Amino acid sequence: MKCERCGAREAEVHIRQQKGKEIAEFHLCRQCAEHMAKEGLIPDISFELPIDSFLWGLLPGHGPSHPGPDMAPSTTGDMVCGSCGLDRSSLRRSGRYGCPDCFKAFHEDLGPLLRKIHGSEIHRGARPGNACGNDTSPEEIESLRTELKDAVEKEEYERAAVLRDRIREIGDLHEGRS
Amino acid sequence: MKAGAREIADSPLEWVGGKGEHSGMILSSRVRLARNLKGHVFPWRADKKELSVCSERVRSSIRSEDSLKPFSIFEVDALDPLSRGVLIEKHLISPALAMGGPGRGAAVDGRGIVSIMINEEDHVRIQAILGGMSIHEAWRIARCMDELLEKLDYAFDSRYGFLTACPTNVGTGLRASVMIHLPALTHLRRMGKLAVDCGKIGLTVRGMFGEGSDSPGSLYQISNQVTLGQTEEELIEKVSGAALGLVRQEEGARDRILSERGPGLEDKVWRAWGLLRFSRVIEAREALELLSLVRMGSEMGILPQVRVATLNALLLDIQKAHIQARSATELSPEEIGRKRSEVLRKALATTGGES
Repeated sequence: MKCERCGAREAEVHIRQQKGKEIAEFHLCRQCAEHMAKEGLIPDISFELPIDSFLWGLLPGHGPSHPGPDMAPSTTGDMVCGSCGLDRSSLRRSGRYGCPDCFKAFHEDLGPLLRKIHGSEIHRGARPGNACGNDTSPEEIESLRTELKDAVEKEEYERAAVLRDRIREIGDLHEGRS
Repeated sequence: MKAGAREIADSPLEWVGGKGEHSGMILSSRVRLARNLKGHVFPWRADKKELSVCSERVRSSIRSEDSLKPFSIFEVDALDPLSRGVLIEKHLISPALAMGGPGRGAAVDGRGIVSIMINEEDHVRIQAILGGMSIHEAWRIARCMDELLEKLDYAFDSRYGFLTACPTNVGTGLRASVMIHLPALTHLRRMGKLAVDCGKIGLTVRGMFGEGSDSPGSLYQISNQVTLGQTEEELIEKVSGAALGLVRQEEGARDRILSERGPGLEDKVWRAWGLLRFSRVIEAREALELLSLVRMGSEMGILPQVRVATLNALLLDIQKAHIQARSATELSPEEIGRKRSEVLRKALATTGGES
């Protein structure tokens, strides 16, 4: 089926909209759908990765946030990753990070997001040979401890248990080496 | 892989051989690892130059490993559309990677077990597929490849694990999946409920062909939803446990159907056998449904025994790109249907006799 608007490209977006008793149908290509959504002619739905951006939508706070260490305000006032230039609204729209440093830049959203997706935010699996836990700095253990306290206070015991295990693991690794 | 589409279609895939436990019901076991290179933007944000740099780093890392010498490395853009279609049908590259573009490529081993995709959603996607219930073995192979490529210096965070473009893959970057054939459970309309149960323990059930719980050919893929917070072994154990549980459920469902409507079932299975062996034109969907019945009938002893390897191979050989790749001329949709019936007749004629 061809796009109703441009008649050239293949229709990829199919919308059925109910207005009172009438049902309006649209069959559009991606580009035209995005264009029409911008003009407010059709509902603004995300065209890139609907499921992931759906997850992002579950996160609290579109309001002002405290910037992470690698995050700088952009000219539009949005937060941006200092390494790759990805801004927060693009991140939410696409549901994808731009580079490894984004994880630091947008660290504030990361914990809640990972908990929503995975029910956890601490990796317990394999590590590269050159990162066998020995890149864990004292600051990181400290931050894990702070978080453990926070989790217990909030009665999030499952999260607390994972944090406790992780702290113990790091402890064992350090002991094993010394 | 400078080969044509036909050669790619004819190249072996280990899982098709039907080795591994429960290979009647569990067609294949797959483990995929998502990895990225430290200090590089993820492929979707990368420009042409960046993509080529990452691609070159991965390629030279593969080439420098003696044990990876037998791998053929190719660029997607160097392949014609038909070859890409064949690779997608063989699950050696993803449809997203097949779109091509600068620096997008893959490396495949000679036995059709391992595929390393370069610059897909992540810089590196390692995949190992084996036949039957071999998910632990597939994990060992994927991990071994992973360790060989580790010198690439992966983007890794001691807290979040392996960093990936999409937050749904962060942590282990591991997706373990099994392809499983569940015709009796599908017939008894149990798949919807089982999919919900699987969801509760963090597993996803998807139809291999098509969407939702109505999957042509009753083929499903069971995989882990989460990648963070559990070890690889735990994730794999969960997928393996669920798959083996489904095998037992399917066996129970087959017994039930046989005792409740034995003659009706026999008739249905024999009709499927007849259609596959004598029809002159057949659509892919119908062929998948009939092959599903024949596979079940053969395993239940209703039909003459058909080798698992024959049935596995047919699942690939009846697909469009495979059929086109093996034809000298460009085929119309009707001709594809005719060729498909020919492929089926030929493969099943030599198997078993009349009972």
